[in-house]
Amino acid sequence: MSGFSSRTLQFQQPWIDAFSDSNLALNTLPSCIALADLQDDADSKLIVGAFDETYTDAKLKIFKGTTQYGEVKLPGTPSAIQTFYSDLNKTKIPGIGVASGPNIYVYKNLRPYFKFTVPPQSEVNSLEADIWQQKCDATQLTKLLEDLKMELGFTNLSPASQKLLLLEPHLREQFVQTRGQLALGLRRKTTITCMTSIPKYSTDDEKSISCLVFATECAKLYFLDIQAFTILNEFSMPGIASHLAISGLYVVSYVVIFTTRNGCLYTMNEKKTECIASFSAPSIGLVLQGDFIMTALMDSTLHCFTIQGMKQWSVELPGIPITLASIPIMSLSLKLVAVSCRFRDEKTSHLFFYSGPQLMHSIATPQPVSAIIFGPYGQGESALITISTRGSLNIRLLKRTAQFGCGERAGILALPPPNSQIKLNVPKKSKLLVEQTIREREQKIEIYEQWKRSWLHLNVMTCEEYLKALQSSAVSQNNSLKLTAQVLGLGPHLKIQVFLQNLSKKEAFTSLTVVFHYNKSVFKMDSPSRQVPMLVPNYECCVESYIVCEMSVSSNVTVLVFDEQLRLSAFINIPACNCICSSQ
Amino acid sequence: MGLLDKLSSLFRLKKREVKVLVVGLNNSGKSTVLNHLKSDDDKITVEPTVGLNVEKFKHNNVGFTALDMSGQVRYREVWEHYYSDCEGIIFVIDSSDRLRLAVVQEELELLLQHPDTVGKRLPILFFANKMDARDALSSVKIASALNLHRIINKPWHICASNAVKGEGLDEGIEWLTQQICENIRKE
Ligand SMILES: Nc1nc2c(ncn2[C@@H]2O[C@H](COP(=O)(O)OP(=O)(O)OP(=O)(O)O)[C@@H](O)[C@H]2O)c(=O)[nH]1
Ligand SMILES: [Mg+2]
Repeated sequence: MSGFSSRTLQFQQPWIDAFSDSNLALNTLPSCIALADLQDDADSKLIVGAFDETYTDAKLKIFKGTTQYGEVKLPGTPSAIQTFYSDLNKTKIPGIGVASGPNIYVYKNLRPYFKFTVPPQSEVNSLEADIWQQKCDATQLTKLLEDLKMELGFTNLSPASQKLLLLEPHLREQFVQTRGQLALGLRRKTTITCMTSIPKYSTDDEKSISCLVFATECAKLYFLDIQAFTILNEFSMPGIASHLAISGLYVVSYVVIFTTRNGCLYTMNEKKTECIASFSAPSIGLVLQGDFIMTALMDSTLHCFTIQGMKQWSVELPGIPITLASIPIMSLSLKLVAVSCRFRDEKTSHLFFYSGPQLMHSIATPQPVSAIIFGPYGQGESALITISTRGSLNIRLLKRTAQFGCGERAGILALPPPNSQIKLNVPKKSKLLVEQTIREREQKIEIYEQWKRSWLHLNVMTCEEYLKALQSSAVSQNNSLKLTAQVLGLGPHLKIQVFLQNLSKKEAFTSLTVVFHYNKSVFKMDSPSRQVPMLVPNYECCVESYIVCEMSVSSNVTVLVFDEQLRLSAFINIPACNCICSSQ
Repeated sequence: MGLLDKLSSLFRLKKREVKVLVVGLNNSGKSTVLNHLKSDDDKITVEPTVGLNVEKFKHNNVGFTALDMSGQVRYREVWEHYYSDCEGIIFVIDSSDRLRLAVVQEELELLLQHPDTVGKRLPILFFANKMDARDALSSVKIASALNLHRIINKPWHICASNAVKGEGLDEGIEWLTQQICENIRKE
């Protein structure tokens, strides 16, 4: 017998810890990390847009296997990185798009290839231009701009005005003198906040040509053609996008999904923009899996919606989320979402893997993870690559025999309760507090009665609103009534049978009326309105009526069922009949 | 070598062929190794294998039938179906692929724990291939990284190789032939 056979297959970690390096000092953002086969040699590389602690000295770092393989200096701090294919050449070399400020720098073969600048917003407020042209001194100018700032908002001022307002007062005079002449050409530059890509012509091949899609600080969304570097579309957004995802095909149809800084989730296409949800906390990331949108919020919740805007589920996260990423495991047909969380006690941090609202698996990480990417790395192995807040790189490879959701849950439950050690920030006893306490003690009865009255009032109001909603929508009652209709005979004398059935368990319908609505010149009917006897649950009632065709045309009869309000309606198509009964 | 020669003539007499299984991760060089061992007119240009290929070659008058398995993730589960029906295993490792050394270890573990290999004295030959690559690990380093010394109930051997030029291959196959012959003699 082998020496290993005794080792039973107890708890199986689905990941192989392939590599980790904590000395890399990789400072990056969740949006600045990508995987791509940069040389078309079936060896996928890791691309990280890294910068130092002061957000300067930005570099594009390329990793192959366990080593850094290339590095390019970036002209500015990256805000997003997106790889894409832009040509039909035989060797498929992807471009790397790096968004930085108002520019997108494109690299191919690790060499600068193109620089695209978002067109500046030329409509600088005319008032602002006037203020600059008045040629007044710095203090006056500052005051006027301060007023304008209150009116327009700081971000809507031109960079020159922004800079002036931020300068130390004694430096302003000099700035106005040097800048005064240039102020005529005031223009608002913008900044790209997030970027993604959409396939242009086909989704079959992941190396097919795509378009870059990006949103700016001016609440605009652009589609950029990366073959000609021209803007294909420009949309106004209802807010400044913080996270962006897109589904579909550019030439057919697409849906743009984005969250805004003020915590709203929108979907948008060529025709309309729709607010799916407005949250109480800002979103920290957005994941799109097929038709499902997942987003985690700063208030430690994870939500799921469909692209059509239907809410699916939401769960409480065990910790404070930092970022999230999609983990599609094709071999198991499992689509997971990884959420990296830190905890208040700062000692532990975890990666949580959700399948739908179900927590499937978790990994304890020594440092909080700030960026996650999952995909083929190196020779096609599925890799989970994470970068921690302190800049270490971790590569975990998916085991071929990995299983999720059997046995790992024990590890998850062993977590410290998330809120166990919060220190409440109790304010000191102020004079106000003491007075308030005294007052509460003396007038306790009045205060209590007051509170009770408002509480009851609130209850009544809620009930009233609830009742109103019930009555106006009456969904439940409509659902319990079933209508079927049929026409008997060949014409011109026809019999219409309307079957009404009460499907509810408790309710009885007492005063239902069936009304037939028809074209008077085509049909004749003896009793177009019929009273229905009381409908007790489960009872089916048949209302019959005779109708005579007077013209040889096809037409229709509408059946309406109502008591105080319309309950149901049905259309009955009656074909043209050949022999006509002439009216006498 | 007298004994070996005698045995190999015994093989020829019985027209017996030795069946070996060639496993290892994708891109490790399995097909390249076999391509080099084949006679000149059978040589092909090596492409990533799909599923498996059956290759035949002769070494020191011993006829080999080698199952060249594909190392891609989705085909790795095919390997285990052939464990029961082979007399030796050639495990090819890309010694320059440091990232996936942990994957090699995982696959080796699965191989050693499989019911069809557990009780058998299957000789395992490891090729620490691509020794010419710039950042290749030495065969000693690979042996210790994979913790090969814990394998006590199977004969094993590791040798560095360069499958493109054919360096190191003969030494390894020599060892494997010898082990298989010993196994046959014991039967
Ligand atoms: N430098 C170097 N390259 C090698 C060596 N052996 C194989 N290669 C190269 O590695 C690549 C992959 O070799 P294959 O023989 O196709 O690998 P494989 O293990 O059969 O791969 P799969 O069939 O996909 O499992 C080829 O481009 C070979 O030329 C070697 O010793 N040195
Ligand atoms: Mg092969």
